[in-house]
Amino acid sequence: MFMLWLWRIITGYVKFKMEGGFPERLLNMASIKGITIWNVRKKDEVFYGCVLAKQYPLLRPLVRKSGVRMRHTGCVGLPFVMKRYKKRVGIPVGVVVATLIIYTLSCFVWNVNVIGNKIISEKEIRKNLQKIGIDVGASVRSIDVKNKYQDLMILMPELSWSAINIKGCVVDIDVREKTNKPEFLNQGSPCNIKAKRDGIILKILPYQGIGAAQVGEAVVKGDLLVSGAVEYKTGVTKFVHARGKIIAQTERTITQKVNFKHTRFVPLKQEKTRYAISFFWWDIPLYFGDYDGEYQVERDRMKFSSNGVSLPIYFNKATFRKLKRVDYTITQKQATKKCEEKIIKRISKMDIVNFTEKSRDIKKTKKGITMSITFTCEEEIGYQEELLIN
Amino acid sequence: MGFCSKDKLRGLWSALELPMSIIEGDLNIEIHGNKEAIFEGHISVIEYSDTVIRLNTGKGVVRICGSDLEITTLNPDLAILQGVIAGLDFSD
Repeated sequence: MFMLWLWRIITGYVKFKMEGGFPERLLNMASIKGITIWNVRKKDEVFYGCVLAKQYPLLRPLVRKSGVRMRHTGCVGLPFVMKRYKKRVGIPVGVVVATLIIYTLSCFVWNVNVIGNKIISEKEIRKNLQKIGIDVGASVRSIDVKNKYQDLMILMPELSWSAINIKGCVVDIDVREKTNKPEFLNQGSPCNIKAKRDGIILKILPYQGIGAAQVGEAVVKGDLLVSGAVEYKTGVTKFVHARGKIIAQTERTITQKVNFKHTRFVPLKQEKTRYAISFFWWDIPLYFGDYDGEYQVERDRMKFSSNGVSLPIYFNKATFRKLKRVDYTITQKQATKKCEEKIIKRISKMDIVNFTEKSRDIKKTKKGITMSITFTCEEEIGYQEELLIN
Repeated sequence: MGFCSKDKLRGLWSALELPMSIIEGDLNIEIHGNKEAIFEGHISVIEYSDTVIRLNTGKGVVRICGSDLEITTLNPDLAILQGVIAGLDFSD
């Protein structure tokens, strides 16, 4: 019934009323001629009905024959609406332009969603997706799903599985992360453990191989600590992959230089806010001019979304805070403290079990101070060196 | 009927349990509750008002009475009538 109504609306129909004569005869003649009349009602000796617009002129001879007086009471449907707005060119032009815009926009990716990642950051995945051509603004047709997911797997070996699902203008990237296999001990090639620094042995734990140094023994760089050549009582010598833990007391000297004169940038209260609109890959600035000098900038991006779908339009807000360059001088005490902090920070980053300060040396110049601190450290000094057997 | 008589055709039609109205050219009436009636056959309108509608079926006249009666579709072979149907009688 809806389809019939729709068809009548598209083709247009005329509402009419007729009185006098023989309306029943007109109905019969119209029926024989194939003229469709519907919604025929009789009210106070007046017949009302509807007929398709193109069949309305065909009723004229029938009206004459049946002797009724017919008048149309209204015109309904698309042809009459179009006739009414015939001179308004803007409407069809607007419809065509809107259709073109919708069609063009539907050819591009509006949004990329990444799901399933736990350890790997979304930012990293997006960065790799950009490399293989999947990003906001990319052509939907250019995304070859079968090949692109393989490209992603090659770029990101830490992924065990990935899928690219295109739903209209939205690309969903579903990923699964790989669980790394435990590292196997390399027991293939025979090797020795040697000292990488000078020191006094504090602890030696040979897991495989024969210990070649004693606790309390002083060693220099390159000395053998654990031997990979194991000699049995039977006289047989077996070469093994030496493993062990060797902790030694060592000395390290770290030098740091700090100037008295420094420069810093102080943000001023004076700030300016600039707005821009991003549409796909285009940034449309809503301001004129540029900013000179040093400044601190805070950026904020607002997405537009409708019914849970993010549109490819972003509203960008950037707050520029002017920075003032301030030159200042620190005292010798402050410079010393700064030096000390930097040295402690540097040694803390090193792979050292424990450290204590042994001595320090401070040299003062016109520009600043140079501090050298010697530490007594406890650290692992063994390194594996392949045993070459001829 | 070239190859068989009308009686034989009726017998075959009856054996196949097909509606007799197809070969007889009779009026076929379908009534849905008391709201709608569909008339199939050679139909023309004799009288039309919102309380009484009389249809000529070629083999007699069908009179439908009720209230708010309306012919929604009218073709030479079909008429669909809607409204509150109170009664239906046949006459020659």
